[in-house]
Amino acid sequence: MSVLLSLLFGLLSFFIVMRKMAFLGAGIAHTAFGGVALGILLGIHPFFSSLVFCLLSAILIGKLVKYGNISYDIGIGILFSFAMALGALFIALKKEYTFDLSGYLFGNILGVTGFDLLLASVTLLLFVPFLTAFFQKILFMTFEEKVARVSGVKTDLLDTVLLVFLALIIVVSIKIVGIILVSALVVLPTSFGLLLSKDYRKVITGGIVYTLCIMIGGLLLSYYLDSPTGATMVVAGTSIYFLGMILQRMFR
Amino acid sequence: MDSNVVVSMSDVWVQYNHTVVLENINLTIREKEIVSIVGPNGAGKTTLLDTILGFKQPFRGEVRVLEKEPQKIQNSGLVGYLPQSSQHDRRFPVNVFDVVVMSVHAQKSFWGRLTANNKKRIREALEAVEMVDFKDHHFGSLSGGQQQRVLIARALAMQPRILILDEPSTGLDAVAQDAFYHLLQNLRDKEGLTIIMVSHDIGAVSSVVDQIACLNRKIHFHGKPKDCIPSEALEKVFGKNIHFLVHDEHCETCERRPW
Repeated sequence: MSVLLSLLFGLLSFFIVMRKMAFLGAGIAHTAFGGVALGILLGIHPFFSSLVFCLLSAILIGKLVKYGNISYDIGIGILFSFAMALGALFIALKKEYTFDLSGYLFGNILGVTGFDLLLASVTLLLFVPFLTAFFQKILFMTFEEKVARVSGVKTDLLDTVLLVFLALIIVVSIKIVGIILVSALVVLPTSFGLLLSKDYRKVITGGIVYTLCIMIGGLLLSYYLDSPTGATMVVAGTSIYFLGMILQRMFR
Repeated sequence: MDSNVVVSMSDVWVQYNHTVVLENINLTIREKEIVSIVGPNGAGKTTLLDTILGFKQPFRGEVRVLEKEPQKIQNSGLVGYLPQSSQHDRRFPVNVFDVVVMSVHAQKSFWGRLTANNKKRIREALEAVEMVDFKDHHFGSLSGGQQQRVLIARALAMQPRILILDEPSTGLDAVAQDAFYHLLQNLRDKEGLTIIMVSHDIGAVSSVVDQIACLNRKIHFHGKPKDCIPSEALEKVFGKNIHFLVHDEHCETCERRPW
């Protein structure tokens, strides 16, 4: 599972960070909470309800920004607190359910089922071919959108597909890392990769290796310390990142 | 239509947020010309380019680029574009070669690989802008002038017929500007490109271009820079109280010439 998620986040992180969509990633993760709660209320598997919820929110944010004439961060800010509040209401409505809130918020490696593993694998099997097929086009569009469009890149379509994958990858990883902390995994791999190199190939590879280290390391550490998995991973990951930053400055 | 007309705009009106930004634009650009569109800030220059590029549609009139509607040729790679000055993230982890390759890949279907021909073309594009030696350099660490050259190489790698530049000399010092304009002349002569350039600087471009169009919502003058631009036209475009400094390749000192 860690390997799958490292690959997914290592790749996804590059485009989210370079397209400056990190806050959107955090927003979608929080929105997922509403979706999970809705699923539990309606008796649907939380994965499907949160995926639909996240996708609808992402589309809604896009529309709000375009037609409501507000900026992205306002749109995201409004929607994600709304979704979290809805989630809290949905849970309150389902009075007889013992809901593992902490597990969804902070991750619970023991709660990972075969089905979760299957979902992660399917996501990877969809994401990797998509990315390799369109990598250069997405790179171009990330670097300079207007010129990419004039040169023949279908920017709107690719943007939408990337957004769908963002929602999918976040929802798939909520069980293991938790909602609060998934947003860290969207940002940290590439941030670390950029400390290592100015070549995008090395940035992505570095990001994948780094994510793998913090996931496995974080997992082992959380086992010994009996601490929540997601939190341990993110603390470890962020500490390594800051250390890397300090070392980079020292050896510049 | 005259076969060597590459861009034609007839009675084009464009609005933006319910305000008319371009009014009754009539413009004909022929192949292998360097045309400069000058005007003050807010004149509608970028909107004009956006209309030629197919990003904006006029509510009246007709635009044809290479005899087609602008949106229809967007995917063709026939139009190279350099938007207004660099808003690139300096940290973006690409080198010069990576940047130039982008436009070639944009033309390919998915999983397309670079052919030997592609690689040859990329090399030629970098040679045309004299940036071959920099191909492994990180793009963000280049100077403004060098980045401009690389972006031109990227456009050239597509083998376009038209090159559209929006304020290309912003951020370039006088020496770099001079070198840049010579490069444009070379591209016109050796590659047969038609170059459409937007600028707010009438003095600097007039020695290099074949045609000037003075724009401020309308086109107030369109002709060769050597023709005396009527002072009424200049007033309508730039307003009163303007003095022009005229430079050409022979001038050793700046000469202030009242229009």
